[in-house]
Amino acid sequence: MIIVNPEFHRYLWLKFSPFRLIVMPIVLGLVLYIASNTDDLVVDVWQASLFIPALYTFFVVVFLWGGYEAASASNSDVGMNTWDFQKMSALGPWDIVIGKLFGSTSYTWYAGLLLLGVILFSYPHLEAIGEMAELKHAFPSAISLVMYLVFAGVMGHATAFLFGTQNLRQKKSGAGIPFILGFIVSSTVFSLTIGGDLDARNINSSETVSWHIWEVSSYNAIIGSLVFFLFWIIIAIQRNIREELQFRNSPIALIAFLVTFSLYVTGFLDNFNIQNRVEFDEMITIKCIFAFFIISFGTYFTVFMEAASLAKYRRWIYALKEKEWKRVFENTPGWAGALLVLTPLYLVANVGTEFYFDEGFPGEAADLSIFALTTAILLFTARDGLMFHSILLGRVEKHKGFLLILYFVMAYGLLPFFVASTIDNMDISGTVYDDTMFNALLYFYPLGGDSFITGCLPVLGQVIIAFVVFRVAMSGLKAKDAN
Amino acid sequence: MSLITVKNLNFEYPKKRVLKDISFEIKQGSVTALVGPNGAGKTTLLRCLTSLETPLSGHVIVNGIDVHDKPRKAHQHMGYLSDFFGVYKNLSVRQCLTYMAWSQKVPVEGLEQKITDLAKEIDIEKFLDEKAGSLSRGYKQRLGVGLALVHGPECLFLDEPASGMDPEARIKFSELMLRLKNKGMTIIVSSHILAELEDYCTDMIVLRDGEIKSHVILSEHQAAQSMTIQIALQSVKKEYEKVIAAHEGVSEIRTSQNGVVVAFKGDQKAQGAFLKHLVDEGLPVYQFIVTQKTLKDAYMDLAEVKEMHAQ
Repeated sequence: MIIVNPEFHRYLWLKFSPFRLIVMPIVLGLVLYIASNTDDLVVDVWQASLFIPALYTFFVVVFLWGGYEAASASNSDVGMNTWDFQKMSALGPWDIVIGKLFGSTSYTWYAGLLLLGVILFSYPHLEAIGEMAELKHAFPSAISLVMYLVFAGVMGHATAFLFGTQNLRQKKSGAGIPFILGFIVSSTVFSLTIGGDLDARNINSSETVSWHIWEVSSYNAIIGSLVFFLFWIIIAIQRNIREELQFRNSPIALIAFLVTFSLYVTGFLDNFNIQNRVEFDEMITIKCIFAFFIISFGTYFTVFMEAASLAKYRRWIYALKEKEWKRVFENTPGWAGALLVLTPLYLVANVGTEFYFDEGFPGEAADLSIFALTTAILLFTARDGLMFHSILLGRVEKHKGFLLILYFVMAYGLLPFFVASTIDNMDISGTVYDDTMFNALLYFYPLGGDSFITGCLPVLGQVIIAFVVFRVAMSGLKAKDAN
Repeated sequence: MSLITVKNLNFEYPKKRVLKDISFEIKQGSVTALVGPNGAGKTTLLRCLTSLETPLSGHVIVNGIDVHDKPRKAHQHMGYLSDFFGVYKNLSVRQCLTYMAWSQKVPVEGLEQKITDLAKEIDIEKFLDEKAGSLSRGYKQRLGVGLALVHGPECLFLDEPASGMDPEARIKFSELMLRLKNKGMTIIVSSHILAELEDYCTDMIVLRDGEIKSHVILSEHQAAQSMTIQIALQSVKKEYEKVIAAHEGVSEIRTSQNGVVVAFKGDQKAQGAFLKHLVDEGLPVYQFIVTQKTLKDAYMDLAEVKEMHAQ
């Protein structure tokens, strides 16, 4: 007997029985029969009348039910106190990811495969339903439609499972929020193309999009995008499981994600380069600037997510003190890894701008100072990073979440609003008003301005204050002994 | 020979250090009681030993493998049963054990027989085809031990294994532990109930406030401590006390209704020599009962508990 994946096999034991195998096709048959005979859906060709009921039943069974099963997959082990056994087993992170992701949803995929069979069967007769003809433009073959549905389903399941593993790390057993988030993703993917009024308006197999130097059909672009995001979602799940299994995660995966995600997004910038007005070399600089924005957002998000990881910080600092370089690398925070990519991008973006756009950018961005803008973004990230750590790791024991929200509301809402209202009430107008307002807002948002002095000095002062706050918050922070 | 080596282990939760610079070695084939008050760090220590938690610093070496560098490889050599473990209620006992064996990469060939043998070993054979959720607490505990043992590990870590069991189940559990001990398994078991550890523990580690207060081999500790010997005599005469007091190792003598009670220090050989001395001197001995110090006594000696009670 060959055991491909014990975790998957366990789910097969739990989810399948002769009764359940028989009852599902009967129930689906009844549902399709009743739905296809309702007045709205009856068409001349009976095979075609099965299409819409099969599609929406697939949506309910795979996206809704399957999403819930995937969201519960990891949490059920915490709830049943069986997680320690799995953590003590010889199952690797991939065994657990694949076993749980496809095992927990196996019964819904059984139903889903039956429904995909019906969809394949009715697809050739779609012309019988007038508005369905467009679907054939989007999906030139039945297989391409089926592939799309399968990817969308797995994507929703993987997202729900990913957020379930986030709960797992926090020792929570609820599946509600992971399920909702997974469902939002899968239903968004569904409605982007074939959901809603089923007109497949967003994709067309005959239209192409530019991606870097290539031209790809919109169908391939969407499938490619699904595969890209699915790949990274599954990698994220694997990293979470790895951490649960006490493997040490270095920031390599985060760096790889940020780099590939930047490549993915900036590839679509070529669609805006109408008639190739911007040269190839200049385009690379513009892409680097966009990549800088993307990776700096990733760095900011990572700083926020990791600010509470006191234990990991301590292990990192301890390993640094002991000069255990392997452990230093393994415990390096993700934001520090992201900075390794951000720094050369910052240099390339600024040098490229000086080299290719010394007379300014074309169009409305003519007065933009990339140096001031990129530096301001870095400084705002540093300011908020210091404040996050001060709040989440500092001496204050309670209401950390509230303090964090208060900081955001004050820094990005109330204070700028107060300053803007004050300027509104001043007796100024025209360009003086515009300049005063813009210069004031440079204190609150990373807008860059036209030079380093106006764009960065205001926030540099705030970084210094945030650093002092950080030092005060961290002083005396030492683990108390057990008692 | 040491199977488990712990070096300078430190563990902390945010703002609280739970284990402080812990170092010790566990010999192969020993059964170590991990004892200490609530919050001493027993569960955390077991979870660090089994790589279920990552320590701040330090190393745990099991069978030559650093468990935090190669957790999956180390897990092949160890089994662990947590205090609040669960079983897959909707699977049968056989399926639970088979799943765990597959998860531990136990070769599929001959697995069915291995599962049956293990079920016999843990005395759960008659329930193999019952749903795990239908088992009583005692049998569920045995299944838990079975799940931890299914891959034939060299060492077993048990956290409060007998909590919630009825007396009969506890006796059965002790018997199981004795069988494992006799097979040469290295076991570390934490428990509040010292009496249940009495039957099978060879060593004891006392943990308090995240520090090891003492680590002793119980037989050596007992030999070093004085024990009580009740000597029942057909008739009690004053001169007998002189004969008894003259023997090496005797520290206190108290006359009882049918003989004397003495405090004695010495190993089994010394006890034999003492009995021979009494018979040779013509004392009418008809009973010679040695009462060793219990694990609880040893714990009280070692854990500074007396001091605390005095306060």
